[in-house]
Amino acid sequence: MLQIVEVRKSYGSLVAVRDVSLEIPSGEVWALCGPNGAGKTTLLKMMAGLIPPDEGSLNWGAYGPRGDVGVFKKSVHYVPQKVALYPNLTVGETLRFFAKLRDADNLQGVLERFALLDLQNRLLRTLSGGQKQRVAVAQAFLGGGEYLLLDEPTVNLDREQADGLKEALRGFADKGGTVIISTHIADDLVSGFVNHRVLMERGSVASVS
Amino acid sequence: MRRRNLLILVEKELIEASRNRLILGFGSVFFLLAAAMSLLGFLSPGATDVQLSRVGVSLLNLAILLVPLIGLVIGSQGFAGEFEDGTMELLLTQPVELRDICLGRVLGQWVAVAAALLAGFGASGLILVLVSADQQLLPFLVNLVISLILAFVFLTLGSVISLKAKNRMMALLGALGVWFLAVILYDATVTQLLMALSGFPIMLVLYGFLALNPADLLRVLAIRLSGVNLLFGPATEAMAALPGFKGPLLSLLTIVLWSFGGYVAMLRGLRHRIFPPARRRVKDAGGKSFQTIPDERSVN
Repeated sequence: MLQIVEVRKSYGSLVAVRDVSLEIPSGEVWALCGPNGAGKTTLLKMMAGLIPPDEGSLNWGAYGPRGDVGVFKKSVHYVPQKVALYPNLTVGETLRFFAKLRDADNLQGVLERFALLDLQNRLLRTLSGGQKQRVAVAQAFLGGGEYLLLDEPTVNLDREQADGLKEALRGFADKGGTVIISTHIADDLVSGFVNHRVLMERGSVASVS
Repeated sequence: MRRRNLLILVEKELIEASRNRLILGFGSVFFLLAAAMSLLGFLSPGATDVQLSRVGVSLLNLAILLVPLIGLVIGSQGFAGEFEDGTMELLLTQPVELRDICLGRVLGQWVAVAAALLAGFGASGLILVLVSADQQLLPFLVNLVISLILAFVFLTLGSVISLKAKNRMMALLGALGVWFLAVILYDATVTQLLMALSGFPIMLVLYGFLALNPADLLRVLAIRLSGVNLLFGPATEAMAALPGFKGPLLSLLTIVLWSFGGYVAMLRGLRHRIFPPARRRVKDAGGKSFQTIPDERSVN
């Protein structure tokens, strides 16, 4: 269970996230929806431990806030909005790098699931946007994570690839994991797929359905 | 676990460095210049005995010019590029400590630059040994080792610049500025300052200036240790004035301080860039302060 209590984050005079409170149980898929600038990415980054909230707290059950950081980072996997991977590494080298850091033993399965076997020896800088996105998402499936946080994961994917991703995310949740995605294209990704939808507007939670 | 993560990061840096055009270019240029320097020394009119030690000093001069430049430039592009591209964000969500990220980066880049230096010195040494078997290896090796230390120190300084700069371009400008100051301007500036400070105890002032510039310090140390009686600038006089091993020991100690200081500055720079100090802690409902998000603490 992830418990977010009265979390607030400001950048100068701009309040990006305003007193957000949520309780997200394990084994579910949640979507943070809303227009650009609604605070989805900031909230997701706080969940991933990348930026601290100015006020409030995020409690990850056994992991935080005072828990073992190594365990936390092995349990919470994140896919940033901007696809940022090492351009001078091949797909295989990149995924092996992340797999080693997380002691993951499911590299082969991830390569197969995301149809990356044929791209293993290609340098990242030579891939298309969609192919890079698949690698970025694939790294989050390496190791035994319990939480998957994905920021706009389908932006560069075609319909078929997006459906494949949904299937993988659903499978992750069905095994007891928790998936939290952010998207501004609500209907496309969310319909019939997520358990709950959090609509965000100007940094606040407008509704949870 | 910690050593394992460090090795994983070093391996990744090495793979990237092996495809980095800047490092490959530096390696090729250094190799060609080193080989050319040795051959020209042998072929020049009147040359009857090409001394390995003398060529070693020439190579050292080449290294003093190029190694700080390449170290600063490569170092400056690392962190600045990762923050600009966003790869640092992904790396920070992995179970690694900040000190491993810093050390892994510098060590990986250093091994790549060291390979280029070894190729250059190796080519030169091979040519000279083939020409004349009667060579003294020690001064040559001293210069090689000092070039390797020089690379480490300036890669560390380049990384510090990288963490202070807003983007790659600013980092590059900063790196070029530091190189120009340390390698081109420093000796001339010191000479002018010494003339202006004629009333002060001159040797003390010289040691001070020497300690402030690792490029100068290592150059003088190499000349002192290799036993080649060639003096370069006023700083060499200061080292030569110290009896026995006092000067070299003092220099080595200063270089260790430069390296360690650079590493600490890098770690602090990375920590502050990720977690600005004013926002690192929040208070819970009871008013007790705690760290809300994971940072570089234990990962085991």
